Amino acid sequence: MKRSFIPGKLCAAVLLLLPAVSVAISTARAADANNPVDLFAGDTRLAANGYFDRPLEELLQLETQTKAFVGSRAGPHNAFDAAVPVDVITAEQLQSVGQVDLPRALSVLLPGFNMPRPSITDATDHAPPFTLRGLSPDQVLVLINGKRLHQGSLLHNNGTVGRGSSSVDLAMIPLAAVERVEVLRDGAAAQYGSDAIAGIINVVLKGYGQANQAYAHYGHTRVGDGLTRQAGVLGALSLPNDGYFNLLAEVRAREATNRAGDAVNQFGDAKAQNQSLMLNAELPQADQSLYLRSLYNRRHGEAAAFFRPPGDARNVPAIYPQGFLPKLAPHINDLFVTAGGRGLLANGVRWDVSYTRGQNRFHYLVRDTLNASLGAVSPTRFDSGTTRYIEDVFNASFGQSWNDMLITLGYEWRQERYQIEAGEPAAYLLAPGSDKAYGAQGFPGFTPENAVSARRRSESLFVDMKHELSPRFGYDLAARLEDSSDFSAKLNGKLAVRYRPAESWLLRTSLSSGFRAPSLSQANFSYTGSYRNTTDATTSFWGNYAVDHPLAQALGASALQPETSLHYTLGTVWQPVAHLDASVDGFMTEIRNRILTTGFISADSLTALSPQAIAILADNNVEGATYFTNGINTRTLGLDLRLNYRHEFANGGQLKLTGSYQRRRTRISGVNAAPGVLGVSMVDLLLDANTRHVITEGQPRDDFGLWSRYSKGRHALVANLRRYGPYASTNNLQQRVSFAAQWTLDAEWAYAVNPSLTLAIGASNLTSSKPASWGLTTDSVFGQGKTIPYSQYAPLGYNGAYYYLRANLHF
Amino acid sequence: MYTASAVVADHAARRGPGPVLRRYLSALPALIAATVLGIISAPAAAQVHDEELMLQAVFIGRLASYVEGSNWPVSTHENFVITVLRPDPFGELLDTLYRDKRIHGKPVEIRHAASLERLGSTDVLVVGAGTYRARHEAITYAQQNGILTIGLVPGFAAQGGIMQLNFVEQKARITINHEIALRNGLKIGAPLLSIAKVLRKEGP
Repeated sequence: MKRSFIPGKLCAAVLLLLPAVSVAISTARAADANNPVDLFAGDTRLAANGYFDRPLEELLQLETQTKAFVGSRAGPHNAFDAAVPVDVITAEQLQSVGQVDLPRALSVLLPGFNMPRPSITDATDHAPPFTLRGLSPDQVLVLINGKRLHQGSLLHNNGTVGRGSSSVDLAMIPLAAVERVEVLRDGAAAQYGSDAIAGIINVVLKGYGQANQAYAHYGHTRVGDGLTRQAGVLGALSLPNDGYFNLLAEVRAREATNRAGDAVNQFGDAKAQNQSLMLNAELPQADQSLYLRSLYNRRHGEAAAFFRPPGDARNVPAIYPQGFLPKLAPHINDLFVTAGGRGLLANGVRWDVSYTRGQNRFHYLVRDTLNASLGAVSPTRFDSGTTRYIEDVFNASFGQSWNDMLITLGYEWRQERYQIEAGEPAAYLLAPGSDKAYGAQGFPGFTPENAVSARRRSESLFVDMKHELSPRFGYDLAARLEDSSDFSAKLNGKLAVRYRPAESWLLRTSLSSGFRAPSLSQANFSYTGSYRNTTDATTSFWGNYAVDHPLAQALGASALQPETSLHYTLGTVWQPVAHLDASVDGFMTEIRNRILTTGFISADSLTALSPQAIAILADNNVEGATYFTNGINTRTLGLDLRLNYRHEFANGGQLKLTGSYQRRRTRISGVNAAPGVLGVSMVDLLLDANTRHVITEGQPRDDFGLWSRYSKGRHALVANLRRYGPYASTNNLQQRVSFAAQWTLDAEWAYAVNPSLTLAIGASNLTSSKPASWGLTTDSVFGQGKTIPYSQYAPLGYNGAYYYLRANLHF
Repeated sequence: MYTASAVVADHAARRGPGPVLRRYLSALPALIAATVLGIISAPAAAQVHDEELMLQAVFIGRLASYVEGSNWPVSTHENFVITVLRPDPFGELLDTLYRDKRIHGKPVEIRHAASLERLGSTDVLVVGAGTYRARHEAITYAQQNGILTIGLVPGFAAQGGIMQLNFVEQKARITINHEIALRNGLKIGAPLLSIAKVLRKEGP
């Protein structure tokens, strides 16, 4: 049955936002009853007049609207000047919702930002991916103060959102290091290069004007697990000429949670211990300045695989007479450094030259396990190997203004490296003559055949133009030519137009093209296992093969090509009174050649598999194989609503309110041809029911959020209402199961003991909302009372309520 | 080259890519027409919705009201003169705001100067962005002529300007170079000094 794209939920969101708008306008009018506000003429002078008679102390406490740098090279711009939609999440918001890491804070504050909490999904438990606009995790570009942040080396290859992708690990960024997060809700590859398809997240680190700070957080879930402790200190040193040197150190430890329906497994958040450092320094000298920004994070995690019962063939009873629960306990290291200079030359040219290095190391360590094929002499701890991703970027840009036009020219050189290092032999071996399970149970190691060291270099030339033709009308033009060692040059462009029919009303639209280069992990990842039946004379293999592996090539794999995209947005911003802006933006994103991993290519899985392919598998002693391929085209349509409002009451109280709603729908609009050698269609090869549902329905259909903060004197109350829309998943029988929308409420009360010390008590998910369970099933793993009672795609996690205390000290 | 499939056919039958794109693009002519109309009918200048700018505009007069000097404000001025040196971010905002205001008992006159040569006599000189050299020249000129300088960029007070106004996490910060103020014969009121960051080190 055809669904309307503007259903009841959207109407409900509008109805929820309308009263807020109404109250905002009414209170603004009441505040200045003698000067009625023309809703379209604006009230700039009235607002300024209102400020003029206030005491200086009050003026210094006034907060202006947030501004963003991302999306334009012409400096900061507010919502009303933005040609493309941008959200700005402030440090105050990030710290008010009871989360201790950045991605979780964004997931409860920003509709359209989706980060489920997968469990028992191997390494993905330790660095869960996130998405924007219901697309893929690798279709989001993340920047730190405008410079590209590296992706992780982990390739998510289990049944989670973002299967087959590598994502940025936002949890490497200490939340307390963040001044604001800017989220550009539009494609911007023509400005920033590969990956900026679903949008851009620009994390701005705390910079100029900070005070020394110390902070601590303590909390646990309603059932008592998930104990979280966090402490950190930010030292802020002023340098000459208003330069700064900020250094932050933080430790945060989170114990695991467990919501498994049985007594022997663990299903919940992974245990994680993080140590983080942030350095942000800038030294101005006349019109030039040098800057250095760095992030370092070391994480030790631990999460369980499935329990192996005593009699399981994968167990050695002599080692674990009661069975065992293997644990993957990786060590994850991330380093980001960017150093550069910027300034203004005597001829008016603005320049910025920088070098950035980002690297991720994911060391797979497995404990409380064994290699069954080694028998009773098996070790119980293994080194299963390491993956690395290293990115070097040199960027130079030069901008010049002529009257109302700014033109920026730039060049970027980028090198990526991806490595897989084999684990210790015991971690992947199948002992000679053994028909037991091979390798380290829980996470068998990478083999020497899987080891790889790959590199890609790319160069880009870009031009960016912003032109204000009149006070009412302006446009941005951008073009970027990117050439890579792996694929032919790509030229992308963008046109964004803004028009102001009235002083308080803005219309905007943009049209752009974009692309995403295949990640090196997708092009080079291989992870294979082995087995031997009692009757077999030789060892058989199975697994994921890199696209250049002879077996993959024989099965039709070819070099991966970039995903290409087309974006269109059309929206309007309305700012009828000071402190209030509302926006509506529709968007469409078409992506061609999306990269997916194939289904399991084997005679058992694909009944129509050609005899030729079956023979290729048999000749290589391979039971089945998968590889990455450019498979499908998709089209995403969506709508964003935003409302930002601030009001100061006569009694000194201040109210801030941010309402947001996003609705989107992704459909598969085309499927590429499958390799002829396989004899099956691409639909059969790629789009089993689960994959199809993950792409089209695996993420919430819509999201609604309403964050509010009321403060007066020493007290501040925060309430964050959130609705995660319905989504669907498939069970082990490939049957579609739909999950209803869920509401959550976060609440916090903060008390300023004195101007330096603030204490807060709060609850995240106060009502202890949980996603709907799989229900009663006959499956052994998925279902109510089973190991996995909830869907891995649940956007709000499954911990229930979380209570916490936090303290902030400025000194 | 794309292969039709059951899945694709199902969706394509419902909504093909062409019609959807066309539907979106169909809004473009209206927008373009409105745009052209807007350009034609655009007034000389439109007010901006920038609270940061509004607060800056307010602070300029408020800060000046806390300053006193034996020869300041200039007694021969009929009005209290605030001059904004280009680049001028305010447009007509200052003119509008100060139309009915008085500072030190005088009506406020707003001037906009393209260069120091065209500055004339003024009580307050507002210096926005621009090059370090241009700011330095403005500061030097102001010091020689007993003019109160208010800068809108970080580093202005350290450079020798008297008052600096900028924003950190959406809140205004005031920095005062007290040494330079005293050297210029300007006395800053205690209420202002108590809420501002005060630099004791001298500028150029």
